[in-house]
Amino acid sequence: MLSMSSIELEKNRLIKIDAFLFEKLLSTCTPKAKDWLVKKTETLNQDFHKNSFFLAYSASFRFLGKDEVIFSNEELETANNLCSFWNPQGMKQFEIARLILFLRYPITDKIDYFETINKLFGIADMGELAGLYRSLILYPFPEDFQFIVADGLRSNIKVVFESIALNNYYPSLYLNEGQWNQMILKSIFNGSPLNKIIQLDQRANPTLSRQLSDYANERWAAGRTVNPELWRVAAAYTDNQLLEQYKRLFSSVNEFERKAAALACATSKSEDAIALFNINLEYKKEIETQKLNWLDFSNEWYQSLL
Amino acid sequence: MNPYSLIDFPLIDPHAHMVSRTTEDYKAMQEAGVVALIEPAFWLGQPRTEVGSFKDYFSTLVGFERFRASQFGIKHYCTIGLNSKEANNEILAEKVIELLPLYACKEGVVGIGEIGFDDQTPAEEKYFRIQVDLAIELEMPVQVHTPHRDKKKGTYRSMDLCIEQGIAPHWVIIDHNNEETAKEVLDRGFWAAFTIYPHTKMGNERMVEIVKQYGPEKIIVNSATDWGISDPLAVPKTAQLMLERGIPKDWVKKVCYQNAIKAFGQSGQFNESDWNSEVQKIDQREKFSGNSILRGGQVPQVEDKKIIR
Ligand SMILES: [Zn+2]
Repeated sequence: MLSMSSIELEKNRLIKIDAFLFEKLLSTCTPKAKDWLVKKTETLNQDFHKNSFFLAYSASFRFLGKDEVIFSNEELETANNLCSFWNPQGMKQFEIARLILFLRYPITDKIDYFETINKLFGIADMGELAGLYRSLILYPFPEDFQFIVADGLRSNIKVVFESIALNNYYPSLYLNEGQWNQMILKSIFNGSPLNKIIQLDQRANPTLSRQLSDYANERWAAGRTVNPELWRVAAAYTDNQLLEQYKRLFSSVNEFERKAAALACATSKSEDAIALFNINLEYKKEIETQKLNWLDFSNEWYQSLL
Repeated sequence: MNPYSLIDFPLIDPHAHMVSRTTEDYKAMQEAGVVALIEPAFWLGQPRTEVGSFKDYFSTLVGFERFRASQFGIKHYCTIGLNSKEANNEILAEKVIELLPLYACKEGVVGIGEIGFDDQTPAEEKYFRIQVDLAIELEMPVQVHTPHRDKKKGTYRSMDLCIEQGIAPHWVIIDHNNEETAKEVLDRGFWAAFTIYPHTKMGNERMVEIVKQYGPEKIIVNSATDWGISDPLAVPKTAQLMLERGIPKDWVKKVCYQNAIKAFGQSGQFNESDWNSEVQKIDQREKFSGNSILRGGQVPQVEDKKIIR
């Protein structure tokens, strides 16, 4: 009985999100698309078959537009009130239609629900998978999605990996430390921008600092460079190995590496690192006056790659 | 610079089993001008015994393979279907047929295929018909594999079957034609696709003669490259030879590019704008320099040749 009531609670929450999305989508799409969606949702509501649900889910792509839906600031606030951390900005029309269909899935019990979820993920194409993962925090029983999420993080398809890792609150809320650290390491391997990872600084930990530091040494030994955003994450738990690495960075010919060393030392809690910061004067003032910070640094770094 | 010097226009290979090919092949195809390709669902050499194997194969076609092609700047599409050989395992075939609609409506699925006859058994005929019906229902083109043995009869039977099911010929691409089948297929208004096989069947030279004889309006050239002896560069090579032998460029463009768009574009899922958009430009450095396909130490291939030292 306890689980029934939790299902009821979830349903009430989902109905509100659904209403918000439905109204917004209908105000932006063509009459033909509107017709299709209204008819599909009504049919599924009256006579639900799993296969018709899967079909409608995929076919949304054919009937709805591919335009991005623009939410006003007011609407974004509403979205955030409906589900904390949720930001629907950037979703395309067909993606919203899919989300609506997904949120309307008639949940009777959890086992059946997750059977369907597993199938939906199992037959999803590249774009569908990314779409499913992007809205993770909206779904009922979010903690039960951990297994599916771990699968997605293992994916070699970059768009799928990034749909979880970037601009998504799910990892910071539900991944354990080991999974979190793997996600950060893989982001660096993949060249995914770390500054788009939510709660990047808050989830720093000694193991991750050590892993990142080792990784940098490996790359240097092979005569290669590393994404300098790495030092932002590693700095939180500075040890002797990292201190040696900062020294090397300070003497680098690359301006980004020198900046990263200064920022890492300035934001580190280590006294030795702060001492290093105080004797390397090149960017000291800029950092102290907030003219240089990690956010601007990242933007500048990614700009330089283009 | 295209290694095939006369090709200064884009090409499509509308029949290529890329799961069996290496990234080197993708690279070579891209350099030779191939901008998009269609991978028909087929058999894998080893018969499958579980429906899950089909599911994972179809998922590969709309997932990992699509991604892999994108790393080399080639837009990957597929057709979904139960092939004729495995249609003979009826218990399995029933389950695969149930699976098809779930994939057929997905993004980038441009038809039902490749389906048709192999040994021309009753089971093959049964599932051929069922799948043509599915294509009609979903308004999708059909890519028909014609048998290697008893080819002429199998090809005619395939066309009869399509007409009996009520699909118009312009929705159907009859594949693996030769000199013996071409006339009838074209006369009856179907698309006639030709597979260029090294050593056997249809070679480039014979293809040139066929295009000279029948004109370019409903002919499509492909490689059907797979795990057997086959050439992923068959389309560029044939295009080059046709130009060398004096076939007008606009004819070559039709049989090696535009006709595929006309035929498979009827699905609404195969548009020139997909591969002409800026997003499609290769940039492995920016997007894929990780542990995906490029392994440690490899220099990514980037369109701007200046960076390759
Ligand atoms: Zn084939």
